[in-house]
Amino acid sequence: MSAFPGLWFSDAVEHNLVLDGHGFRLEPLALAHVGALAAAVDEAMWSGMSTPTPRGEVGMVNYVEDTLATPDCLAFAVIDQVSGEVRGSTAFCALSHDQGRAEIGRTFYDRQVWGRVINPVCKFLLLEHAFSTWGLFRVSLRADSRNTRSIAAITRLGATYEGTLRGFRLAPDGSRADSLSFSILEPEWPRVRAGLLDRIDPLRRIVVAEEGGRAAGQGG
Amino acid sequence: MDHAITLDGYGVRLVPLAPQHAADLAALVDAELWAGMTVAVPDTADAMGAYVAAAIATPGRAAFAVLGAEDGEVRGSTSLYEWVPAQERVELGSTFYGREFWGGVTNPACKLLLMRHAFEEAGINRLALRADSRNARSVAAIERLGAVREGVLREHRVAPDGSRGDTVYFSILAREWPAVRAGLLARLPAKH
Repeated sequence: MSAFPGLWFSDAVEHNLVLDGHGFRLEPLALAHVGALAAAVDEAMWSGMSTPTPRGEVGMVNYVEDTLATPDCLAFAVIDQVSGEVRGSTAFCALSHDQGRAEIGRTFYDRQVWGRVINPVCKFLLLEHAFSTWGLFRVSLRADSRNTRSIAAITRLGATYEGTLRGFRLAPDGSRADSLSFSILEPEWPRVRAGLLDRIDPLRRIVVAEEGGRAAGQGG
Repeated sequence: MDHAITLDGYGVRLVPLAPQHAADLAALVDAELWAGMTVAVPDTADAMGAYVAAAIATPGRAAFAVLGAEDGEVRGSTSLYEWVPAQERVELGSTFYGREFWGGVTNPACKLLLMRHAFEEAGINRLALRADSRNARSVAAIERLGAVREGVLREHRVAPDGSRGDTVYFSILAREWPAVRAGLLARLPAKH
């Protein structure tokens, strides 16, 4: 006996938010992005996500439609502004202006751009919008406990670990996995922001230091 | 979301929350009772009507009115929410009862009925509960269930008075349900 009502989807959450800077543009996720995103996905890189691996373009169409139908979720395709290529996807989810909070998640990137600046840039653009434009107080992030790459990335941001949600995700292989929960609060954003900018533009630290040195040497 | 779940037992009946319950629910609440929630206290029939409408319209939320089984009297409301069947997880909360029903069988009965439905009928593997960390009564009630405390979501929620507070997060997994069920049954009259 199942007491579940039928699957419930809201109307697709349409948004027109575009965020850009530091060589990347986040634009509303759409079916037009399916081809490029499907090519970016493989089983191994999807293993830390909370949905089964989208297989081929059909699978990615389902993933994109499911994402677009998720309430309170603003999803983006991540575009390399120089090449025009779609390099990944990410989203604000569980956005609540009343509660002053949102989560960043549903993030994946093409392997070819791993380890470079795409993630710090996307995190910078999303967090800057969340804290500085929307005036949110809290942004949370979650990672599958087995996704060491993701945990390392979130920790490197400077987010604070808050606890482990036991058996939160049904992993693509059918097992139940824990999710680690992290957050960044508004008073912590300046420090996180500086850390991201240092990673996005390592030369910036030298420039800032030089300017500081020049200023200190002047006057008096 | 619309749902058709009705649960009976231990002197209470849970029915889908509906607009007709709003007036009776409004009469039960006051600011102090409502302090652990995250919306303004709906202590007029109109305000409670809006609360009920929002609850019914929320995706992934099955909201219930709690009635006395014998007399049909409205005792309060509770919900299963953030229900994700594909992930076999759900949360239980947004619970309030009139003061005259505190400390009796109403809460354990509701918890038993809802959790039994979730774990034994709806294929749930993870049921979570949250409380405002400042709501000692609610935190104690959840701990008494035997739910496992997982962490504190910092500055997570805005209270009705506009202040930000932490949310304490608990869960019960399917393998833990038998022990939780036994604890609840021990708090309820054997005859029901």
